[in-house]
Amino acid sequence: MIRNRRLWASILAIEVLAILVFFGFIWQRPVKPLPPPHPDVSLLDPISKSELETIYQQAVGTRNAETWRDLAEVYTVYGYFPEADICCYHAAKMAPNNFDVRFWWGVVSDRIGKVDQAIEQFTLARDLAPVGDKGQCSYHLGRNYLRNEDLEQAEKAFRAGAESYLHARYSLAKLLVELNRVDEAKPIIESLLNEHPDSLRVLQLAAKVAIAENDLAAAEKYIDRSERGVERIHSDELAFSLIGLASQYGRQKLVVAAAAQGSQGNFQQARQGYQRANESRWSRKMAWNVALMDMELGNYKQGITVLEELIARDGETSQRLDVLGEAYRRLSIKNNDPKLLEKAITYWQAATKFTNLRDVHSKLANYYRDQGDEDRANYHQALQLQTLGIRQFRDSKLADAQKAFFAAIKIDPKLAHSWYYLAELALVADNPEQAAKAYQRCLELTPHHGRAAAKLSQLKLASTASSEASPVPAN
Amino acid sequence: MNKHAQSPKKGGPLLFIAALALPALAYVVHGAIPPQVVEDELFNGASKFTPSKHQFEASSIGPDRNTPPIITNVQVVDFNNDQLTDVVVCDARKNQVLWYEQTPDGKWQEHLAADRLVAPAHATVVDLDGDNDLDIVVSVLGNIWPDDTDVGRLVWLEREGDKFTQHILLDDVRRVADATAGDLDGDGDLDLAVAVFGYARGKVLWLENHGEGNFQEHRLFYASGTIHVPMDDYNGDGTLDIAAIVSQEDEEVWIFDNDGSGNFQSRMVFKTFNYDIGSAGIVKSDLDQDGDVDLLLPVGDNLEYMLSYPQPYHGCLWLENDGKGNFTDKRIATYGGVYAADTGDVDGDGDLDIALVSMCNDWKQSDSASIIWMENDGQQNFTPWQIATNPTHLITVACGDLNQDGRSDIVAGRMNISPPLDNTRPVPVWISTGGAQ
Repeated sequence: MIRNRRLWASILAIEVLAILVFFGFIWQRPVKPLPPPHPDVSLLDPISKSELETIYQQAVGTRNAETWRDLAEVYTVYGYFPEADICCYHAAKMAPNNFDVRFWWGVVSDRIGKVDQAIEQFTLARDLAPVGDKGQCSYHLGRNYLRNEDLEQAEKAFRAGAESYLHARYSLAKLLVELNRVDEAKPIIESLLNEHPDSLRVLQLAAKVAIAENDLAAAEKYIDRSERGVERIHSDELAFSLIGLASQYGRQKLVVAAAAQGSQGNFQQARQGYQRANESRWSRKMAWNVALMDMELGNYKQGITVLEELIARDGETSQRLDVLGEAYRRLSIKNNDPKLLEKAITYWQAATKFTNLRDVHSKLANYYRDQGDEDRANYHQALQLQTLGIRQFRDSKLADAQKAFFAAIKIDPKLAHSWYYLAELALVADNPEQAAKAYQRCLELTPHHGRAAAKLSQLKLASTASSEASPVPAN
Repeated sequence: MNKHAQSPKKGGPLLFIAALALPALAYVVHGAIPPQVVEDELFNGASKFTPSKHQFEASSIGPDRNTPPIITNVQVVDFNNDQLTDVVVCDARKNQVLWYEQTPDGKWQEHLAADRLVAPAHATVVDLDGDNDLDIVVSVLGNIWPDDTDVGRLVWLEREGDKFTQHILLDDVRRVADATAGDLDGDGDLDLAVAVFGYARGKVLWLENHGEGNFQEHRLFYASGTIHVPMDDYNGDGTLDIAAIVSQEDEEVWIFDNDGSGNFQSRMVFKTFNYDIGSAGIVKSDLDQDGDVDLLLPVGDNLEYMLSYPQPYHGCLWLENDGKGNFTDKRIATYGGVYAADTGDVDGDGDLDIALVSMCNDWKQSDSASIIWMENDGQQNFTPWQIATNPTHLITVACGDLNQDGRSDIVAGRMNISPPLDNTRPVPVWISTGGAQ
């Protein structure tokens, strides 16, 4: 049989044919994809690094679009934008009609500066989006057209999203104002003001419209209102949402969990979480959180160590000195050591040199009261009330603010800022006469108070104008 | 016939062996064929340039830190009037204003001008009280991070011999980013223009000097994000005007034309609808040396998201003044994450070159440029040359002749708030030594 030449020639021929077919198949076989890109993660803190590696390993060997998109999301959160871009590219190949993939590719393209690609992907995403997400896609689309200075397309995109997405409506109004099409912008701004009367950005936009119409008095009113407005519309919604997303990963996730423990009164667990995060990478925020937990737990000595290291590494601030002083005060009580209280006072005195004070004047007032030094106690008590009042004024808690300012000037009638803000409150309450008196008092105390002088002069002008406009009663 | 009948049998063993060997060979060859893949090409948005042929000697001012530094401003000035150039530094990590005295042997001696100023953003060196020594007006942010509360201040460090006395010129105000001095109302004393950057709310002010450290504020403009307010005669009418770069909600440059008595008319001279261009400041300079004051606009602030990425429109724009205060904008550099610019004759050829530093280049790539200089050919055609790739995260720059050789040297400051983090070279220096590589 071995010698049967014909038989073996036939077998060989079949083999050659089979091999040709096999290699032909290999030649023509579909492209085998690479695993997802793996960035250099050496810049990450150990906690984030470890989590990123886990998510990466889940994506290796899979051809699931959602998994690759999720990896792209993590890469975006950690700033690996080119790697995220590649992941999205492959995910889109796997599932060309997946809204989440197209939307995220748009986000990545936006961050990486591939503006045309971002426009392409947000357009595709909008076509695929559930009704509730179309407005958001239009908003991002409009923003990217703005980056290309393609104002016509930007306007179209904002218009498309205006009905369902607040940020798109605001962006449309803003664009129209900037294009000097104030008449078209006004109804949109009015609708925004009706829905969000305290939105600082809408109020600022309304002020711009008033200025464009040369109605400076109306503009001033909108500016005053915006001073107490609330940030309901973010100037960069994408950056804002990415910051929120970052808290779902790695070290930040740990910090959020620790904060949740802290808010439930589990200070020990919270401290452990913050401490782990801080050991993973030292940061001023984590050191601060650890110190605050030490205070809650009564670990004053430990808290002092953490705060002193924080100050050595990141400088003094009013809050750090305030809490450091408090730690010394409590330690002085615990150890019955009056010298520690002196240290606390030194820190609190130092804290008053800064802006952004919280309770430090109150602590000093209590201390001096205990010492029987009523003058100093009153001085600090008045300043504490004034600080509180300004904070409440900014937070639109006007009745509380008024109470605080009245209490402040009762103790120290020479507090010019308190008079100024009492005048502002009177203006809000539509009481120009009382406002004028308070501005006047502020100027008597601080003759160079520019804002008080400007407001008083406006009030005088308005009063003159109104008296000129009033019919003169006949004798 | 027999021959023919026997011949198949003769070749049979050979064919038998071949029939066995061929599949084995095919198996081996198949194993050696690499998998068919398409390499992914990563997008690369980092800015890198040709290394400078003009030589620089790198050094640094001040000691390394125990935490990544946050230097917000550097100024090159002969602060003690000894004919040697000194450097004034705002340190927002230590909350201090420092000045580094250059000694005759070229070393730097550190002096503390002020502390407990949270996040000083800018030091304006000026003889504010006219007593023939240089004081410092410090613009205090109060918080380096986004904050819309009244944490800002304007503080005058009055120089009295070797000591400085702090006077608060403005408080109950949001984050203050810049101040400049000049006689705005023609009464012979120095008034101030102030940029209240704030965050979501801010304003531009001018402060009228009433003497003895008393200043009255006047609001010129209400908008958040004003970074710099350089003062000069932009419209050529002989009085000081104010320019302002507004960067938060809008990307605009405004001029406030002064009638000489402190009455201002505002006008916008530049605007882009590209909200993401990232205006990072404004620098006045007669770049083309035609006798009027032009403006340089470094663009590349991308810090709304901490892990930023260089954008294709980052770089530097030149707003060329026609002498009457009308400006034409021209792009003169494309460079990712640019945060500051200054002009100086770096190569000593008589024209003004530009130093640009980057805060937000792609630092994951170690060869991304952190500082470049733009060589002027005398006709305002600029060629970019890379000076260094590290230290990274440079946020402020100033040109000045540190070694009195007629060429401008470059001093920068680092704001190292994102990886890669390191504690070294808070204030890097590049001495222009010339010569080709």
